Amino acid sequence: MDADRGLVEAAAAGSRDAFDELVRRYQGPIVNLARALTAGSADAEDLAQEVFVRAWRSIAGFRGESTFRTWLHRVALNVIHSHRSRLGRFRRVFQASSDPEGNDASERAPDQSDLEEELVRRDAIDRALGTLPDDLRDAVTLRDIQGLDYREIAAALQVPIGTVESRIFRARQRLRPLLEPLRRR
Amino acid sequence: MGGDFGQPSSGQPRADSGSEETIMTCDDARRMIARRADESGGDDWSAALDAHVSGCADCRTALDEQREVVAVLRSRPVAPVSATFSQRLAGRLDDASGWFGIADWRIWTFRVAPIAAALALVALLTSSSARTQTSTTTQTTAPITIDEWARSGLDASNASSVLWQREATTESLLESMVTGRPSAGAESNRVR
Repeated sequence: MDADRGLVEAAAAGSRDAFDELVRRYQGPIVNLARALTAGSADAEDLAQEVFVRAWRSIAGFRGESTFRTWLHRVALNVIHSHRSRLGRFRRVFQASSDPEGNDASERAPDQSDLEEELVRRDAIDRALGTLPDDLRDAVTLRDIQGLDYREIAAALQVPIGTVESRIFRARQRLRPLLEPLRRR
Repeated sequence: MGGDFGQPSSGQPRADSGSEETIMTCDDARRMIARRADESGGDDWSAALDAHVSGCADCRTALDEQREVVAVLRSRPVAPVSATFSQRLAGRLDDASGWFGIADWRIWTFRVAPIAAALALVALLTSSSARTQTSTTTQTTAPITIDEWARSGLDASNASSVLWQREATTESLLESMVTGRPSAGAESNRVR
């Protein structure tokens, strides 16, 4: 049973109040997802906003085949993938990437708050995630950062559950050496 | 144990949980290890995985490593949402709801299409009803005879009247058709 069903139906009928409540429920997770999947990019909030705008425009077509949370994550993945694709083309054209791993320091402005341990930790994890291929990064982020269950992830990525399990296993294998310093803290 | 699924295992002995119980290979175990590490496992394969892991050092190590990564990822601090996020988003949603939003084809597809279909149906029914009424009216009017129709063509103000004039020349006929009026020459030769 989708806990958001009543709000989704009202929003699909055109209720902005209902959609605003859905935004309040999910703005945190979607901003969090955008940050994790863009290696802490400063564009994360803009991407999250684009997710909600697209969701608002197309919610009337949401047929409830999955939960709203799953559907919203699928919308988010589409928006973030498009952004990464544009960014990749831009970098190829202008040769702006100075880091072979794709962790361009210019993507995020130096911030005083980076001195705080919490932010350093998040930043390190996001950068480690940023080294993964898209399919592995999406799967492990949805599971270990966003907390979606395997069925929801399979629906969001539109792949079989066995593929999700495989991707998550391989993603963690690749992440382990990168996250080793954080494990001791 | 660094291979992908579907590849041969690292050569460690395959574990089985008993003589007649389900044998779990390392490839099978890896998928279950991913679930066991984040505590989203099911009861149906739990015993078989335990049996396999207890007899397979590689898979035991893999499970420990997966658990370590899960612990670190779950310790990632949640990214805060800026104070202006809601306000900025509300503005964008207002734009999307206004005239600019109406221009979006998805709005038309999902929201206006049923209304458009209803209007088209009404228009179709109205048109059909009008045709029926016209047909009824035509039936009640006395039918026109060929003679009357021919005489109507003799009206001098009608360009087609030239067609009924035996003396009409090709030039006057052409002129009448082009100008929409009976030519001067044709009018003088009009049959009375």
